[in-house]
Amino acid sequence: MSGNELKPAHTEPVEVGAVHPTLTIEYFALFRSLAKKSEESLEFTDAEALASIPALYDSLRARYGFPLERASVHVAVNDAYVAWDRRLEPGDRVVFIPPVAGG
Amino acid sequence: MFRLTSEPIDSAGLRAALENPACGACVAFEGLVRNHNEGRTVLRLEYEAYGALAVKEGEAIVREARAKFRIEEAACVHRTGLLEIGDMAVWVGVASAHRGEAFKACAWIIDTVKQRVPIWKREHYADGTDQWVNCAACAPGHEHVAGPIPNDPGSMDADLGA
Repeated sequence: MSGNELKPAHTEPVEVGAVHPTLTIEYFALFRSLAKKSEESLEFTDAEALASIPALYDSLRARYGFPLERASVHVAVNDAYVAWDRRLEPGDRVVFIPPVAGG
Repeated sequence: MFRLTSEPIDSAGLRAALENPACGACVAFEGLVRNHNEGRTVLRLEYEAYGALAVKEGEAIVREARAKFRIEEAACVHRTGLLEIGDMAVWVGVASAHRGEAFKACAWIIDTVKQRVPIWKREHYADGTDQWVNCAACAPGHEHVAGPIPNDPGSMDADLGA
């Protein structure tokens, strides 16, 4: 899918003084251990980069050294499982889910 | 009913709540912390849950079990936090008119909980190290395949054919 890259900011007109849209990312288990935090807010200057779940995962993976390929990770947005091609919106709360191991 | 708890699981109380005069069978599964895994000595386990989604998904699994099997009652409780050897990590109970459906439903619920509910465990070993099970053990090049969590959120409440 196109638009997955984290690109420089668009030149589309933006409201003057507008706050950049943010996402909240929550971390559990292996991802929490590697990110060394439970939660963070990310700000996006580029709406396209914000919208793409694969691009977001790849950038977090590079930043924190997550060892897992996308194929072994599930995604939840606002406490519901979603497909990887779901587009994110400002204010969404995103959780990447490493292989589960209950029981 | 599906619940997460940070307190010891009261299996007797949970079993009593399944009592139903129409049921001639009650099957319960107790998952306990054992002292070894894959050749290593385990001292204790730590369970972490993504609470909001775990409860939602666990409740969906119990609902699906009721639709899939001829059972009258079903419940599952999973622990979180630090557990010692012998502690109960998970309890599943099913009551039905006859034993066959209760055995099948109980096995299906625990199998499905292990595949779909966002709960993780970290093993603490005798040598002082620890790791997240299934994840940190991942050697480079070893690729996990994601479990059968439906990626179409619209199908989450459907009766799973798989």
